[in-house]
Amino acid sequence: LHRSGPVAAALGTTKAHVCLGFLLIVLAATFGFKAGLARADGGGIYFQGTWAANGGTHPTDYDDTCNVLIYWYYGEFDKSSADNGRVMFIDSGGTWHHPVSGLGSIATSEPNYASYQKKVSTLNYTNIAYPGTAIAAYHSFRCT
Amino acid sequence: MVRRLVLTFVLVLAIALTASYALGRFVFGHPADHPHQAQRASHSRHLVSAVKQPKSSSNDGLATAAAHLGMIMSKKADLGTVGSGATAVHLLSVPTSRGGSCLVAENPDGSIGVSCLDTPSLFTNAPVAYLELSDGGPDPATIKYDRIVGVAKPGVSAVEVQLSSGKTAAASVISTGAFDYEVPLSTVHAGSHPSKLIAHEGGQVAGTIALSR
Repeated sequence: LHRSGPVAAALGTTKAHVCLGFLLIVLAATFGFKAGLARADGGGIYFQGTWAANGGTHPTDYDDTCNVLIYWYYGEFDKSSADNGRVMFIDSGGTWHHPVSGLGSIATSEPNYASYQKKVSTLNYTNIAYPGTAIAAYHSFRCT
Repeated sequence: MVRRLVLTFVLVLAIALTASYALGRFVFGHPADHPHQAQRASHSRHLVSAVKQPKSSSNDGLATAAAHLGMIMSKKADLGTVGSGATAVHLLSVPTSRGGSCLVAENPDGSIGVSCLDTPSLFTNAPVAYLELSDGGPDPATIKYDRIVGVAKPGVSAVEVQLSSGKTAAASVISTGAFDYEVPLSTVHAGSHPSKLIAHEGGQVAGTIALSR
Protein backbone atom coordinates (compact mmCIF):
# COMPACT_ATOMS: atom_id res chain seq x y z
CA LEU A 1 0.00 0.00 0.00
CA HIS A 2 1.15 3.50 -0.73
CA ARG A 3 -0.20 6.98 -0.21
CA SER A 4 -1.52 8.85 -3.28
CA GLY A 5 -4.02 11.58 -4.30
CA PRO A 6 -5.11 14.74 -2.53
CA VAL A 7 -7.89 13.12 -0.48
CA ALA A 8 -5.68 10.35 0.82
CA ALA A 9 -2.97 12.86 1.48
CA ALA A 10 -5.35 15.16 3.31
CA LEU A 11 -6.59 12.35 5.47
CA GLY A 12 -3.17 10.98 5.87
CA THR A 13 -4.28 7.46 5.01
CA THR A 14 -4.41 4.92 2.21
CA LYS A 15 -6.63 4.37 -0.84
CA ALA A 16 -8.32 1.45 0.90
CA HIS A 17 -9.27 3.63 3.83
CA VAL A 18 -10.63 6.32 1.55
CA CYS A 19 -12.76 3.77 -0.36
CA LEU A 20 -14.11 2.40 2.91
CA GLY A 21 -14.93 5.89 4.03
CA PHE A 22 -16.86 6.71 0.87
CA LEU A 23 -18.76 3.41 1.14
CA LEU A 24 -19.82 4.22 4.69
CA ILE A 25 -20.89 7.69 3.67
CA VAL A 26 -23.02 6.33 0.81
CA LEU A 27 -24.64 3.79 3.16
CA ALA A 28 -25.35 6.48 5.74
CA ALA A 29 -26.83 8.76 3.11
CA THR A 30 -29.08 5.96 1.82
CA PHE A 31 -30.21 5.01 5.32
CA GLY A 32 -30.90 8.60 6.24
CA PHE A 33 -32.90 9.20 3.06
CA LYS A 34 -35.05 6.09 3.64
CA ALA A 35 -35.66 7.11 7.24
CA GLY A 36 -36.87 10.44 5.95
CA LEU A 37 -39.50 8.62 3.89
CA ALA A 38 -40.98 6.59 6.77
CA ARG A 39 -44.79 6.20 6.79
CA ALA A 40 -46.97 8.45 8.90
CA ASP A 41 -50.46 7.59 10.14
CA GLY A 42 -53.23 9.83 11.32
CA GLY A 43 -56.87 10.78 11.08
CA GLY A 44 -59.67 11.77 13.41
CA ILE A 45 -63.11 13.27 13.46
CA TYR A 46 -63.94 14.87 10.12
CA PHE A 47 -67.58 15.70 10.74
CA GLN A 48 -69.85 16.19 13.74
CA GLY A 49 -73.47 17.20 13.36
CA THR A 50 -76.70 15.98 11.86
CA TRP A 51 -77.36 13.42 9.16
CA ALA A 52 -80.52 14.28 7.24
CA ALA A 53 -83.23 11.66 6.81
CA ASN A 54 -83.51 9.51 3.69
CA GLY A 55 -79.97 9.77 2.36
CA GLY A 56 -78.07 12.27 4.50
CA THR A 57 -74.39 11.70 3.84
CA HIS A 58 -71.04 13.11 4.96
CA PRO A 59 -67.91 11.98 3.08
CA THR A 60 -64.23 12.82 3.29
CA ASP A 61 -62.44 13.96 0.16
CA TYR A 62 -60.77 11.39 -2.05
CA ASP A 63 -57.33 10.08 -1.28
CA ASP A 64 -54.61 9.70 -3.91
CA THR A 65 -53.63 6.52 -5.69
CA CYS A 66 -49.94 6.93 -6.25
CA ASN A 67 -47.84 9.81 -4.96
CA VAL A 68 -49.89 9.11 -1.89
CA LEU A 69 -50.47 11.81 0.63
CA ILE A 70 -53.42 10.06 2.26
CA TYR A 71 -54.55 6.45 2.11
CA TRP A 72 -57.90 5.93 3.81
CA TYR A 73 -58.13 2.52 5.47
CA TYR A 74 -60.70 2.99 8.25
CA GLY A 75 -64.13 4.60 8.54
CA GLU A 76 -66.33 4.94 11.61
CA PHE A 77 -69.83 6.35 12.11
CA ASP A 78 -70.79 7.02 15.73
CA LYS A 79 -74.49 7.47 16.49
CA SER A 80 -77.16 6.29 18.89
CA SER A 81 -77.73 2.58 19.50
CA ALA A 82 -81.25 3.11 18.13
CA ASP A 83 -80.12 4.54 14.78
CA ASN A 84 -79.36 2.54 11.68
CA GLY A 85 -76.79 3.78 9.21
CA ARG A 86 -73.97 2.83 6.88
CA VAL A 87 -70.24 3.52 6.63
CA MET A 88 -68.26 2.61 3.51
CA PHE A 89 -65.55 3.48 1.03
CA ILE A 90 -66.56 4.97 -2.31
CA ASP A 91 -64.31 4.84 -5.36
CA SER A 92 -63.95 7.63 -7.92
CA GLY A 93 -66.62 5.96 -10.08
CA GLY A 94 -69.12 6.10 -7.22
CA THR A 95 -69.10 2.37 -6.45
CA TRP A 96 -69.27 1.33 -2.82
CA HIS A 97 -66.62 -0.87 -1.19
CA HIS A 98 -67.00 -2.72 2.10
CA PRO A 99 -70.22 -1.01 3.17
CA VAL A 100 -71.18 -1.92 6.73
CA SER A 101 -74.64 -1.21 8.11
CA GLY A 102 -75.82 -1.46 11.68
CA LEU A 103 -76.93 0.18 14.90
CA GLY A 104 -74.84 2.36 17.22
CA SER A 105 -71.21 3.01 16.39
CA ILE A 106 -70.28 1.17 13.21
CA ALA A 107 -66.93 0.73 11.47
CA THR A 108 -65.43 -0.65 8.29
CA SER A 109 -61.89 -1.10 7.00
CA GLU A 110 -60.09 -1.52 3.70
CA PRO A 111 -57.21 -4.02 3.93
CA ASN A 112 -54.09 -4.57 1.89
CA TYR A 113 -53.64 -1.07 0.49
CA ALA A 114 -56.22 -1.68 -2.24
CA SER A 115 -55.04 0.38 -5.19
CA TYR A 116 -58.08 2.43 -6.00
CA GLN A 117 -58.86 6.03 -5.25
CA LYS A 118 -61.38 6.22 -2.45
CA LYS A 119 -63.12 8.31 0.14
CA VAL A 120 -64.85 7.34 3.38
CA SER A 121 -68.55 8.08 3.51
CA THR A 122 -71.40 7.73 5.98
CA LEU A 123 -75.09 7.44 5.15
CA ASN A 124 -78.39 7.78 6.98
CA TYR A 125 -80.89 5.69 5.03
CA THR A 126 -83.63 5.88 7.66
CA ASN A 127 -86.58 8.24 7.54
CA ILE A 128 -85.51 10.27 10.58
CA ALA A 129 -82.62 12.72 10.93
CA TYR A 130 -80.16 12.04 13.72
CA PRO A 131 -76.90 13.40 15.17
CA GLY A 132 -73.58 11.63 14.91
CA THR A 133 -69.84 11.79 14.47
CA ALA A 134 -67.79 10.59 11.50
CA ILE A 135 -64.19 9.45 11.84
CA ALA A 136 -61.64 8.35 9.26
CA ALA A 137 -58.09 7.11 9.61
CA TYR A 138 -55.30 7.08 7.05
CA HIS A 139 -51.85 5.86 6.31
CA SER A 140 -49.64 8.17 4.32
CA PHE A 141 -46.54 7.19 2.46
CA ARG A 142 -44.88 7.65 -0.89
CA CYS A 143 -45.57 5.29 -3.81
CA THR A 144 -42.49 4.17 -5.67
CA MET B 1 -3.19 9.36 12.98
CA VAL B 2 -5.79 6.61 13.50
CA ARG B 3 -7.66 8.76 15.98
CA ARG B 4 -7.87 11.64 13.50
CA LEU B 5 -9.03 9.26 10.78
CA VAL B 6 -11.82 7.80 12.94
CA LEU B 7 -12.98 11.22 14.07
CA THR B 8 -13.10 12.45 10.48
CA PHE B 9 -15.17 9.43 9.38
CA VAL B 10 -17.62 9.83 12.26
CA LEU B 11 -18.05 13.50 11.51
CA VAL B 12 -18.65 12.96 7.80
CA LEU B 13 -21.05 10.07 8.53
CA ALA B 14 -23.09 12.20 10.92
CA ILE B 15 -23.31 15.03 8.39
CA ALA B 16 -24.33 12.62 5.59
CA LEU B 17 -26.99 10.96 7.76
CA THR B 18 -28.50 14.25 8.92
CA ALA B 19 -28.45 15.85 5.48
CA SER B 20 -30.03 12.81 3.82
CA TYR B 21 -32.76 12.55 6.44
CA ALA B 22 -33.55 16.24 6.05
CA LEU B 23 -33.57 15.88 2.26
CA GLY B 24 -35.99 12.95 2.46
CA ARG B 25 -38.33 14.92 4.69
CA PHE B 26 -38.04 18.05 2.57
CA VAL B 27 -38.62 16.39 -0.79
CA PHE B 28 -41.24 13.83 0.29
CA GLY B 29 -42.60 15.43 3.44
CA HIS B 30 -45.62 13.86 5.15
CA PRO B 31 -48.99 15.20 6.16
CA ALA B 32 -47.85 14.51 9.71
CA ASP B 33 -45.13 17.08 9.13
CA HIS B 34 -47.41 19.41 7.22
CA PRO B 35 -50.95 19.10 8.61
CA HIS B 36 -52.21 21.98 6.50
CA GLN B 37 -51.06 20.17 3.36
CA ALA B 38 -52.79 16.92 4.35
CA GLN B 39 -55.95 18.76 5.16
CA ARG B 40 -55.96 20.62 1.87
CA ALA B 41 -55.20 17.48 -0.08
CA SER B 42 -57.65 15.24 1.65
CA HIS B 43 -60.25 17.12 3.64
CA SER B 44 -62.30 20.01 2.57
CA ARG B 45 -63.75 19.77 6.03
CA HIS B 46 -61.54 20.33 9.02
CA LEU B 47 -60.16 17.58 11.12
CA VAL B 48 -61.90 18.62 14.31
CA SER B 49 -59.39 16.68 16.36
CA ALA B 50 -56.39 14.71 15.24
CA VAL B 51 -56.06 11.17 16.49
CA LYS B 52 -52.65 9.59 16.15
CA GLN B 53 -52.89 6.02 14.89
CA PRO B 54 -50.54 3.24 15.88
CA LYS B 55 -48.14 2.18 13.16
CA SER B 56 -49.00 -1.35 12.14
CA SER B 57 -49.68 -3.63 9.21
CA SER B 58 -51.99 -2.95 6.29
CA ASN B 59 -54.77 -5.06 7.88
CA ASP B 60 -55.02 -2.95 10.97
CA GLY B 61 -58.69 -2.00 10.82
CA LEU B 62 -59.49 -4.07 13.91
CA ALA B 63 -56.68 -2.50 15.95
CA THR B 64 -57.85 0.96 14.93
CA ALA B 65 -61.48 0.11 15.72
CA ALA B 66 -60.48 -1.28 19.10
CA ALA B 67 -58.54 1.89 19.93
CA HIS B 68 -61.28 4.28 18.77
CA LEU B 69 -64.25 2.41 20.20
CA GLY B 70 -62.61 1.35 23.44
CA MET B 71 -62.97 -2.36 22.77
CA ILE B 72 -61.29 -4.54 25.41
CA MET B 73 -59.90 -7.23 23.12
CA SER B 74 -58.56 -9.29 26.03
CA LYS B 75 -62.20 -9.88 27.05
CA LYS B 76 -63.51 -10.83 23.62
CA ALA B 77 -65.85 -13.81 23.26
CA ASP B 78 -65.43 -15.97 20.17
CA LEU B 79 -68.81 -16.54 18.53
CA GLY B 80 -67.41 -18.84 15.88
CA THR B 81 -67.37 -18.74 12.12
CA VAL B 82 -70.44 -18.55 9.91
CA GLY B 83 -70.36 -19.44 6.23
CA SER B 84 -67.42 -21.30 4.73
CA GLY B 85 -64.49 -20.85 2.38
CA ALA B 86 -64.36 -17.47 0.69
CA THR B 87 -67.54 -16.36 2.44
CA ALA B 88 -66.56 -17.41 5.98
CA VAL B 89 -66.96 -14.64 8.54
CA HIS B 90 -65.51 -14.86 12.03
CA LEU B 91 -67.68 -13.20 14.69
CA LEU B 92 -66.65 -11.79 18.06
CA SER B 93 -68.43 -10.15 20.95
CA VAL B 94 -66.28 -7.55 22.69
CA PRO B 95 -67.05 -5.34 25.72
CA THR B 96 -65.92 -1.73 25.73
CA SER B 97 -64.23 0.37 28.38
CA ARG B 98 -67.23 2.74 28.18
CA GLY B 99 -69.68 0.08 29.36
CA GLY B 100 -70.85 -0.87 25.89
CA SER B 101 -70.71 -4.01 23.80
CA CYS B 102 -69.62 -4.67 20.24
CA LEU B 103 -70.31 -7.23 17.55
CA VAL B 104 -67.24 -7.66 15.33
CA ALA B 105 -67.11 -9.44 11.97
CA GLU B 106 -63.76 -10.40 10.47
CA ASN B 107 -64.00 -11.05 6.73
CA PRO B 108 -61.73 -13.46 4.83
CA ASP B 109 -60.09 -10.57 2.96
CA GLY B 110 -59.02 -8.90 6.21
CA SER B 111 -61.68 -6.21 6.25
CA ILE B 112 -63.90 -5.82 9.27
CA GLY B 113 -67.40 -4.77 10.23
CA VAL B 114 -68.21 -3.47 13.72
CA SER B 115 -71.38 -2.43 15.50
CA CYS B 116 -71.07 -1.16 19.08
CA LEU B 117 -74.07 -0.50 21.31
CA ASP B 118 -73.93 1.68 24.42
CA THR B 119 -75.33 -1.09 26.62
CA PRO B 120 -73.33 -3.83 28.39
CA SER B 121 -75.32 -6.50 26.58
CA LEU B 122 -75.87 -6.76 22.84
CA PHE B 123 -79.43 -7.88 23.63
CA THR B 124 -80.70 -4.99 25.79
CA ASN B 125 -82.96 -3.60 23.06
CA ALA B 126 -83.54 -6.68 20.89
CA PRO B 127 -82.93 -10.43 21.11
CA VAL B 128 -80.50 -10.22 18.19
CA ALA B 129 -77.54 -8.02 17.24
CA TYR B 130 -76.60 -7.71 13.59
CA LEU B 131 -74.33 -6.33 10.91
CA GLU B 132 -75.10 -6.04 7.21
CA LEU B 133 -71.96 -6.68 5.17
CA SER B 134 -71.79 -6.23 1.42
CA ASP B 135 -69.53 -5.15 -1.40
CA GLY B 136 -70.49 -3.03 -4.37
CA GLY B 137 -73.51 -0.81 -4.98
CA PRO B 138 -75.41 1.41 -4.86
CA ASP B 139 -76.43 0.07 -8.29
CA PRO B 140 -77.76 -3.42 -7.43
CA ALA B 141 -76.10 -4.82 -10.55
CA THR B 142 -72.65 -4.02 -9.11
CA ILE B 143 -73.23 -5.73 -5.75
CA LYS B 144 -70.98 -8.78 -5.28
CA TYR B 145 -72.64 -10.01 -2.09
CA ASP B 146 -75.08 -8.86 0.55
CA ARG B 147 -75.35 -10.70 3.86
CA ILE B 148 -76.69 -10.33 7.35
CA VAL B 149 -74.55 -11.73 10.17
CA GLY B 150 -75.09 -11.48 13.89
CA VAL B 151 -75.73 -13.20 17.15
CA ALA B 152 -78.98 -14.20 18.84
CA LYS B 153 -79.73 -14.20 22.54
CA PRO B 154 -79.82 -17.65 24.20
CA GLY B 155 -83.32 -19.04 23.86
CA VAL B 156 -83.89 -17.66 20.38
CA SER B 157 -84.86 -20.67 18.28
CA ALA B 158 -84.80 -19.15 14.80
CA VAL B 159 -83.80 -15.99 12.97
CA GLU B 160 -85.46 -14.85 9.78
CA VAL B 161 -84.57 -12.13 7.30
CA GLN B 162 -87.38 -10.37 5.51
CA LEU B 163 -86.48 -8.92 2.13
CA SER B 164 -87.82 -5.76 0.54
CA SER B 165 -89.56 -7.98 -2.01
CA GLY B 166 -91.69 -9.32 0.85
CA LYS B 167 -90.11 -12.76 0.88
CA THR B 168 -88.74 -14.17 4.13
CA ALA B 169 -85.79 -16.54 4.49
CA ALA B 170 -84.31 -18.41 7.45
CA ALA B 171 -80.80 -17.56 8.61
CA SER B 172 -78.34 -20.31 9.50
CA VAL B 173 -77.78 -20.33 13.26
CA ILE B 174 -74.84 -22.13 14.90
CA SER B 175 -74.52 -23.34 18.50
CA THR B 176 -73.05 -20.08 19.80
CA GLY B 177 -76.09 -18.19 18.55
CA ALA B 178 -74.14 -16.65 15.66
CA PHE B 179 -76.18 -16.49 12.47
CA ASP B 180 -75.74 -15.72 8.81
CA TYR B 181 -77.95 -15.13 5.81
CA GLU B 182 -76.60 -14.29 2.35
CA VAL B 183 -79.11 -12.87 -0.09
CA PRO B 184 -78.98 -14.81 -3.40
CA LEU B 185 -77.19 -12.71 -6.00
CA SER B 186 -80.08 -13.00 -8.46
CA THR B 187 -82.33 -11.50 -5.78
CA VAL B 188 -79.78 -8.76 -5.02
CA HIS B 189 -79.41 -7.87 -8.68
CA ALA B 190 -83.19 -7.72 -8.99
CA GLY B 191 -83.09 -4.90 -6.44
CA SER B 192 -84.24 -6.70 -3.31
CA HIS B 193 -82.42 -6.17 -0.03
CA PRO B 194 -82.85 -7.14 3.65
CA SER B 195 -85.54 -5.02 5.29
CA LYS B 196 -86.29 -6.68 8.62
CA LEU B 197 -84.70 -9.10 11.06
CA ILE B 198 -87.11 -11.33 12.97
CA ALA B 199 -86.17 -13.43 16.02
CA HIS B 200 -88.37 -16.32 17.14
CA GLU B 201 -88.52 -17.85 20.59
CA GLY B 202 -90.78 -20.78 21.43
CA GLY B 203 -92.75 -20.35 18.24
CA GLN B 204 -93.42 -16.69 18.93
CA VAL B 205 -91.84 -13.55 17.52
CA ALA B 206 -89.44 -12.43 20.25
CA GLY B 207 -88.34 -9.24 18.55
CA THR B 208 -87.64 -7.49 15.27
CA ILE B 209 -85.14 -4.96 13.95
CA ALA B 210 -86.04 -2.76 10.99
CA LEU B 211 -83.26 -2.68 8.41
CA SER B 212 -85.12 -0.69 5.77
CA ARG B 213 -83.31 1.94 3.71
